[in-house]
Amino acid sequence: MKATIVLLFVLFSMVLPAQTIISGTVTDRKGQPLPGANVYLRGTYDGASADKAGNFNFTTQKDGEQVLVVSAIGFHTYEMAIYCNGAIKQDVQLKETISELNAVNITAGAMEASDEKRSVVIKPLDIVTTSGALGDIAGALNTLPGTATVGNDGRLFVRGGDATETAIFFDGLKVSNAYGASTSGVPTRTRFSPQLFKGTFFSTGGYSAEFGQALSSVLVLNTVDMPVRSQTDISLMTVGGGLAHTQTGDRTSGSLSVSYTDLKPYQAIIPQDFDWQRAPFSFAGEGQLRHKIGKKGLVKGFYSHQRSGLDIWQKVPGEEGRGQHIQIANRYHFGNISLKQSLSDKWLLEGGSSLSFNTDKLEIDTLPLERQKDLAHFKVKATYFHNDRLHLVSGAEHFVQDYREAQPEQKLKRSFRGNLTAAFSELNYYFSSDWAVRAGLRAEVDALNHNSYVSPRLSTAYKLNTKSQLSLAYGRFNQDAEDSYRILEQGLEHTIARHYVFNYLFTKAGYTLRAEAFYKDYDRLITVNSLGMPANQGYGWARGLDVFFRDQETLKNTDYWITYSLVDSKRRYDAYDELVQPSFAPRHNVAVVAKHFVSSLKSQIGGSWNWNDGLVYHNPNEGSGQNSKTPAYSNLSVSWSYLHRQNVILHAAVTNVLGRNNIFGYRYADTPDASGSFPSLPMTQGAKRFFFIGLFITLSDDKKANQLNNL
Amino acid sequence: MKVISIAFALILGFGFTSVAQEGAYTEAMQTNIKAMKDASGTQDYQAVANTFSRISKMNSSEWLPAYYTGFVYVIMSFQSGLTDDERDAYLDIAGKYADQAAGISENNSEIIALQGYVKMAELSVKPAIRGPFMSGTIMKLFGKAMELDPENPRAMLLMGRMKYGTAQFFKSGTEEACALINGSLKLFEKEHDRGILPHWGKPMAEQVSKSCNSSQE
Repeated sequence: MKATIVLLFVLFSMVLPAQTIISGTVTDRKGQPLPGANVYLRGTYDGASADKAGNFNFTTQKDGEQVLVVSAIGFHTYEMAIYCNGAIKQDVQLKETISELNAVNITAGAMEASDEKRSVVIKPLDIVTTSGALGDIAGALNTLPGTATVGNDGRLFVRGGDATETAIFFDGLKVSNAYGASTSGVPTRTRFSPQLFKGTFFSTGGYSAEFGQALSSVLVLNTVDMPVRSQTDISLMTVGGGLAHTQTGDRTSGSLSVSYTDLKPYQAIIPQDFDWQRAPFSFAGEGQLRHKIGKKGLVKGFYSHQRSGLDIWQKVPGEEGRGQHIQIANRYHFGNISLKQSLSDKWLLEGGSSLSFNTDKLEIDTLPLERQKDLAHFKVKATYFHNDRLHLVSGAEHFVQDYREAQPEQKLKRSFRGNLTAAFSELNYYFSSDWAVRAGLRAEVDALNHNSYVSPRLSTAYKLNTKSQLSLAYGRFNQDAEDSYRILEQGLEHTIARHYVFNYLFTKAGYTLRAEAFYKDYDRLITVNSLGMPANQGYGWARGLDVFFRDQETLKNTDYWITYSLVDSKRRYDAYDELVQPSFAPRHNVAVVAKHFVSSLKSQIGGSWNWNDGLVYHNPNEGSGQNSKTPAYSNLSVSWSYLHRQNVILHAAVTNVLGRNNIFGYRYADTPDASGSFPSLPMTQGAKRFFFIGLFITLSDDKKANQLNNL
Repeated sequence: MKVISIAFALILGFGFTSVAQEGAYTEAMQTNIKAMKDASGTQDYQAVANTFSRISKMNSSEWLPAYYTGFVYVIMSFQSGLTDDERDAYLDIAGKYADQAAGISENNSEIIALQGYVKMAELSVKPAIRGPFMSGTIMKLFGKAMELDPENPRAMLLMGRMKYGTAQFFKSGTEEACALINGSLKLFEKEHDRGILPHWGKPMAEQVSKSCNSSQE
């Protein structure tokens, strides 16, 4: 009996039920049809794709309660219960998803160089293939809008701000003394090779609440996550050489590199205008370890040790002889460990710490001096993804800073320790894929001056159409006073800036046009009185606009960009008791970069031209203030990279090919001579031109790798 | 007796339904693979991809439906008239399906070759920009696919195409690339009756092989 029932049941289940026809139209919220939408009954093979008009129709043998599922690329999947009983007509509207590919990106102030898919103004490779930069990150960024080239300094100067107003981060963690040790008038370089980084985020204003202790700008350098192959790199250059090896595994990879640079042989051949006792030299050793944890987690560790030195005579205005003798020996350690782990689909946790130790041993004439700066940065950041429209980033960080100065001969010492704790929180919200807003707040407590600071940040972006968008940003920024001032007065307040940035961005296959207007006001800048004591009595402003145009399309195998930045800036700072144009803020700045690939020669030929209308300076013979200006600065550089084989590259570059005699200002004697005027000396370039030749060889299993990234 | 007949009926019933499902899966795959071969134009390919995607949801332990969904999205990304962003959007989905297949069947030469193919298509969207940092990963994937199954003609063909493209970019010799492409043709000759297993690529190999021969003459 029971068997019969079972048998009947089995047989019944095989009987074909009645057909149901399901049809309808799939559209978006605006009523536009969505061709290609996938419409089906859950748990069955039954379904269809929407046609050009968004219409679908299919039949099913199922009956009763079923779930109709509709999905389409770029839209949330829609599910609804239906009852199959012959014929169903069901129209469906889908809601758009916000994804990296379609969402507007807040671009006010920001220039991102990334290999990620979203449109960016420049790419990491651009940084290393810019002629004239000679592989220096700051040198390449100096061809971007908002920057000013100060040729005898080498650091980044952003929108009327001095070089200390740009903070540099390495995998999200602060780097102290990111530039090599140098002395006044001798340009420096960024300590880190651009090949370490897969992406660079450079902001010239209005940046997120995640970044503090930066008055004008942040430069965020993100290292390569996992190298793809094991390889050995050898570089032989006119100024030194290097050896690096990378070993990769499935979950772990490591690399080691050593390099030695010495300008002595070069300077023996090429005459120099500077009076070198010992040409600059440096040794660097680096190690990197990366390890994957689980599916998405990653730990990265990095350590770098550098030793460098130089010995130079600098003429003193109004005096005979070689002048002042300056000797520098620098030791630098930087270590960084960072972690990234997804706790779930909703939570992403990032954190880490960095340590920078910098020791300068100087000898000025015969007086030995020691300077030590150590910085520790601890940071933790959590991102909560509520849905595709809303995510919240919150974090906390702590900085410990030690600064010491000593005159060993006279047994004089002074030092201070700074402790700064910060917390930040930022809300990112998309009203639609066309309109985004970011609102953040940052709070800092400074244990040294016993003050606290609250900085709001707000920015928004709106997509006008598929090619153009507008962004606005506002923010309040604070930064502690420079060490050389704080050692004298530890109660100094943080300097303050407020940024207002308005950005327009137009992108079309191969073309980018970016225009930005900004206003920045400064408060509590450091002034120095006649006794040399600092106070927060300065203030000022910078305003202007910049335009960036890049074209990779019009000329075959050619990529070029043109940048113009206007900066109108005045500030009361240092010893000035009135508003003056700062000596590091030229008014008109132009950069042109071009790269042309000649496939018949297997070569990339590049050129870059940096120009500004001159730097202002104080001439004591002409009264007070910044009363004089140098002639315009101009530097045309060319480079040639030749791919001998895929793994052998020859690179040659010449800076300032035209041999222009650039002057960066004048130094004046402290006292007037017999005729009553102050004797002066121009601040010039170390040499008219710099010649560079390098051979880069990569050895790897697949022989395809090259060091294109090193150039 | 009763007990036996119940048991018998149950076994028969279950067995029958599972065979029926198996049959329905194979049949659905066969029908759609045929539709894929006949497809032309984005509309057709989207319908084919949708069907493969539906089959993958029904048969979540089978790697082939996800594999084919990813493969069809790669084909769609090569359709003319698309913007770079649109091509990237297709390849984004292709990559997700290829990864889904890889999650079902580990160390599968065909799937790893497809993962490399997706990345190679991504590279081709912006070769000058993506080439330097993506080519290493792609070669590694094709290399692994060839290692796992030296008889897989698709892995060898794709490796050959990748090397061919690189050689053209650097103006260096295409001998190594062409040897791989011609080698894949030999493997294709040996490939018969694959059923619903991947068996695409022979016309592509013949075409690339032609340009190899003409460039060497």
